[in-house]
Amino acid sequence: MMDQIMTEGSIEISTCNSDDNQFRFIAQDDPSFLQGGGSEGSLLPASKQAHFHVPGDSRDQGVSEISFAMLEGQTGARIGVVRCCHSFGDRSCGELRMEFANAETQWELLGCALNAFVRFAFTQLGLHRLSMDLPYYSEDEIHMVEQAGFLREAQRRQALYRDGQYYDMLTYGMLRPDWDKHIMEEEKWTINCCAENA
Amino acid sequence: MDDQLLRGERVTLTRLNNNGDAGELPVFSPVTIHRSASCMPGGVYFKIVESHDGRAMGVVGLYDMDPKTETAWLQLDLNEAEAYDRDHEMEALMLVLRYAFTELSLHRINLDLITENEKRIGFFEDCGFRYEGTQREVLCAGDAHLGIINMGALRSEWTRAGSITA
Repeated sequence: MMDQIMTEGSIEISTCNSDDNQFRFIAQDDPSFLQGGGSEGSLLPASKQAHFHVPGDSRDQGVSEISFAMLEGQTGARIGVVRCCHSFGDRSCGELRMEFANAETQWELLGCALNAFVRFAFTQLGLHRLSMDLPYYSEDEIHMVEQAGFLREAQRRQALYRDGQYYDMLTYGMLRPDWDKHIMEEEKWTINCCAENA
Repeated sequence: MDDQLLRGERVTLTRLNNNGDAGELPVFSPVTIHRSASCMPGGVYFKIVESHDGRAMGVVGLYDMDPKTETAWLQLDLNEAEAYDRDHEMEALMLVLRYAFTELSLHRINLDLITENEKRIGFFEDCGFRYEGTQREVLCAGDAHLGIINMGALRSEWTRAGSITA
């Protein structure tokens, strides 16, 4: 059972079970990439926990991770899952992991989904900061998060091992003021485009 | 090498736990940030003891060891009530790095510092770590948000003598 909680453009965000495993994680298949971030306490303010309760979810036992399904609005097709948990146990910071339905998914659509979730996280969840770790070789995803307004903050050298080779791990972060500025610039750009076309 | 005891000229590191569980560690002031519990708990912890007078200087440890990526996180807590010179602290860190790279055959050691401790960056760089970035406003401290400084040491840059290759 899923509850629709937000619609933006062609993207719909719904709650889903944390153990939803039907999506292949295309950033990489290395389970070690999934480590980190799990801490005590719920990500959501107490006032919103009931609204986001999902049957089968263990949030009531103090699990911090919360998962959302991203659906294509018209067809209802599931694009992927966004998982969000605390960073360093701070309730105002969310660490994201995105899992997509398949590697051939249109990156433009995924970018829309990420934008929708970022808006949801800052305006509905009231988070102050979002972050995401990405392997250095995930060029498409890196481009996508940079387009969404995330800034590269750290590059952990040779922190990831895959197929006999070490890779750097990048940490991207976005603060609420970054997002406000990013949105203002995008709106200004849209207004200018409309004025030129008029 | 006896992994229960790491001896240096100024300090001796005594193994605190033998079963991979941190258990009851002595409480000192944290220099590094201990990340929240992850899916790979456990670690190796040593009490730092001054070699001549036997005073407890602090605790240094390696935790969240990942055998696949051959990485671990460094924890350093020091007794702030006692003033020790930088050489004591550096020797303790060099002993545990040598243990990590030679005995445990780790590839990389991670280290996180709170931005309030940024004056420590130079000290850790002298010990073989490299600054790798700062995550902004990660921790809430009252009305302010503090950042996290990321540092890392690689086995390829470390030598037994403690010097760092170019």
